[in-house]
Amino acid sequence: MSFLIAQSLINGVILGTLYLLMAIGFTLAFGVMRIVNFAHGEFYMLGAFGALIGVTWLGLPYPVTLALTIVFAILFGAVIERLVFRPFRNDELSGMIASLGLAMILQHGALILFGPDPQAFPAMVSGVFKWGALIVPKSRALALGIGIVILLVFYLFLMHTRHGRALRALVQDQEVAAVFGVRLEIMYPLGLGLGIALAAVAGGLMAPLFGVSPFIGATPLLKAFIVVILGGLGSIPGAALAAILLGLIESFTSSFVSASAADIVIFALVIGVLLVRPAGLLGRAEV
Amino acid sequence: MSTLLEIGGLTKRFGGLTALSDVSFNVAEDAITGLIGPNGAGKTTCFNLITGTFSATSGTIRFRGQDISGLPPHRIVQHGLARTFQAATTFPKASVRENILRGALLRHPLGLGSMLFGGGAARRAEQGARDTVDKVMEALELTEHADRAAGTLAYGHQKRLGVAIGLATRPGLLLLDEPAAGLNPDEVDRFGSMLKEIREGFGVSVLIVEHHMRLIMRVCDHLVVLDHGEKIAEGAPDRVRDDPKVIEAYLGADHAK
Amino acid sequence: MSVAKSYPTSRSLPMGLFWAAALVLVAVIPWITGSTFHFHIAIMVCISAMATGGLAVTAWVGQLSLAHAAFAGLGAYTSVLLVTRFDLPVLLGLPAGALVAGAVAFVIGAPLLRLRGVYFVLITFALNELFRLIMLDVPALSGGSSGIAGIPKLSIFGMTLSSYEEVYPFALLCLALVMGLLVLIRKGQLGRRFGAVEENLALAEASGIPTARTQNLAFTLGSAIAGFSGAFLAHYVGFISPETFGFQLSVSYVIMLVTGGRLALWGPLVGALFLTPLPEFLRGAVEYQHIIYGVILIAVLRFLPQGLAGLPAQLSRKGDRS
Ligand SMILES: Nc1ncnc2c1ncn2[C@@H]1O[C@H](COP(=O)(O)OP(=O)(O)OP(=O)(O)O)[C@@H](O)[C@H]1O
Ligand SMILES: [Mg+2]
Repeated sequence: MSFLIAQSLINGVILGTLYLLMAIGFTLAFGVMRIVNFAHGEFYMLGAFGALIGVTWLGLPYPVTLALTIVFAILFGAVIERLVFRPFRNDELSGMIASLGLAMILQHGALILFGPDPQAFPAMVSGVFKWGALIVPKSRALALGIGIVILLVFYLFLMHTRHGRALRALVQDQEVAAVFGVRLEIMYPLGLGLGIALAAVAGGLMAPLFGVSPFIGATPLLKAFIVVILGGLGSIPGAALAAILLGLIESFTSSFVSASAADIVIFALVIGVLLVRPAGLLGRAEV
Repeated sequence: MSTLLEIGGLTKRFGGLTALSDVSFNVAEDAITGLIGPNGAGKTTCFNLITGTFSATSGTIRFRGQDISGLPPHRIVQHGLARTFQAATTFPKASVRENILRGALLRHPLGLGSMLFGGGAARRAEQGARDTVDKVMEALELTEHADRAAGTLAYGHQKRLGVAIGLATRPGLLLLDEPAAGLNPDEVDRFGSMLKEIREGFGVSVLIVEHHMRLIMRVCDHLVVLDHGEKIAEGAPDRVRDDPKVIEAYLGADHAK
Repeated sequence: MSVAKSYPTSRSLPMGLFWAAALVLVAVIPWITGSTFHFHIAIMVCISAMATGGLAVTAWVGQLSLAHAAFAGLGAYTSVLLVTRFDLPVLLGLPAGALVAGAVAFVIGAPLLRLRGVYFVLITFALNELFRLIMLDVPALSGGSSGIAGIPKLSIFGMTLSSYEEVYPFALLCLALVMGLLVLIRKGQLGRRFGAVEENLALAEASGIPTARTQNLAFTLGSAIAGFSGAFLAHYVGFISPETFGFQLSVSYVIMLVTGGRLALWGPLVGALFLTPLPEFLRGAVEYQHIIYGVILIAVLRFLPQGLAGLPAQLSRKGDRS
């Protein structure tokens, strides 16, 4: 029994890391630009395809591929911000609707380019780590390791660089930040670009585990959505806590009860939290 | 003069912040009462409590002897207590006439059937309301703008339109939150005269929040002064003006700026 | 200087006649061409326009629902179950679907509608997903992921509408009823209330309009219309599953509404009329269909905030200025 718990714990942490990578970008876009980005999952999908192209077509090493994915995603995000979202800066609802259109364009664009069939991603590492009865496939450990490193780097960026501090100031208070000279025409594209890059690199990290197809963005979007609602829209610490929590809940419930029942409970929880505490479990109780 | 509104021990806390603390005062019928105080004194909060936008932490609010605390805002207007907002708020896409009509229809309630299918009752209601609208537009000098979209009006006109919408609900007491803010001196004077005319013409009492002291001194019969959520003075305008506590509150606030 | 319309609107009569004639002309196209496929497209336009009309009613009080497909699904499952298990005539199944969808909306509307703007969109998004998950979890009712096939065809008074040519007039009639309801709402005192709530909720409440009840009424009516359209869809297509009424369907209603005009009376009809037949014009490039939908959506948001239905007004305003 204690073995099962430990195994669930490890799986939960891996899931939680993935969810956190997804959720931070989603919540950052909302915190910085007030955009609820329904296209967020499609960047996960594009990141996975990007990694596939890098590794199998271009024959690049995996870490180089991931680094390139991040760079391209940031640039792409900046372009998207300029073309799609900028006109709706003062109109949350229109920006959100626009993201629905963007999601369709990206998903069906990928469908035309790559076809509907799932594509296998070559294994980056093989074998397992074993501690007693505890088994962790090395592929999962790799994804977890890189994911944690990326999260740490991002954390350091947010806390200790000028742009990172500016982003946090924007999340706190748009007007005050603007008064203190935070330049929106740089920070908006950067915020969206970084958020998208985190989603894309999550796609690149998970590709070896789950495969690649144009339709893989839906689930991560749902997870990001759940995490962000539970943690409070726009709150990064909230997202961190909720992501780990969701990963653990899913991992434990799938070991002990049916997955569909767990999903229903989680969505009911999301709706309950939105009703009672729209600012999230940790957030201040104001809308 | 009889009492229209009785506020007793009104308190409102937002988390740790006490925005209003144990405030009591009365508003007399047929009077213009001023509610004044420095920024953040709790004036708007007081309005929000009276009109049901927020519920009070404690205290009583009685209007014409009836307890109205805990009622939602749209019920409180029905009792005859209308308010305007500190910001210029209108229905921006609708015409001036339509804006006022939306207030006036309160006194001509209709069932769902009449609302959907029209008919005699709906026509009579609309006609009755339109009479009120014409009268209100005249009183607030908005007639010439009747067909313009509210959102396209000059700021001063929008503020006046806000008062017009409230007046159209035919209240016994009209609560005005800084109706003269942002107006130029001429407009302020003109507004003061309008206010007096409205009181006569519509038989409405007024509770007004304003920072324009000249206006307050000119139109008010009675003043209540708030500072840091507490009532620090109350009485006739010239008496209150010379009250050392009031002077200190305002000067303190001025120095802080 | 812009002159606002005062409710109810009085549009100049010749223009109204022009548009009515154009509408009739479009409606008779299938009879002129005689193509079965055109009949099918026209029926789908009617169904989409009804559903989008329901979404519009909610939008008119300032709330955008992403749970609209779930209410369509609720209506569909209600009608299908009543018809297949209790031998209810299909003609009664359709209003029953509307009734159940409306009743559910009424009950959950009160707490839901306290949320506004994107928060309401988010909670309805979660709700649609919850509906799908729950339906998948009760296969005894919903047929699970394999759905329910062989649903009885539409029939009126024992007469089955077996061909497209027979369904189409009935679809037109239903659409006319729904649009008639929309006209009544919009042109009567209720429309005035809706407008007030949409434009300035706090001021509407302060003017004595019970905003919570008004929003809930709109949500209930709109969701009931969705239920009706969903039931119609189920009996017309003959197959439903929980996936039929997923997120994508809600999104396509939103796209039609926004493209047609979020706040325009005729927006839902225009949006459905414009977007439903679109794949037909893309022969040989059908895979671009969704991309084009996405581009249209973003372009309309950006350049035609009133939607296509607002285009004539927008053009004539430009004309006046020059
Ligand atoms: N919804 C709210 N949540 C938290 N605090 C609030 C809220 N509304 C008001 N306050 C606080 O209550 C205090 C009183 O505010 P209020 O708006 O009533 O002041 P006021 O007298 O109207 O000031 P002004 O002259 O600037 O309009 C302020 O400190 C304000 O920050
Ligand atoms: Mg104030």
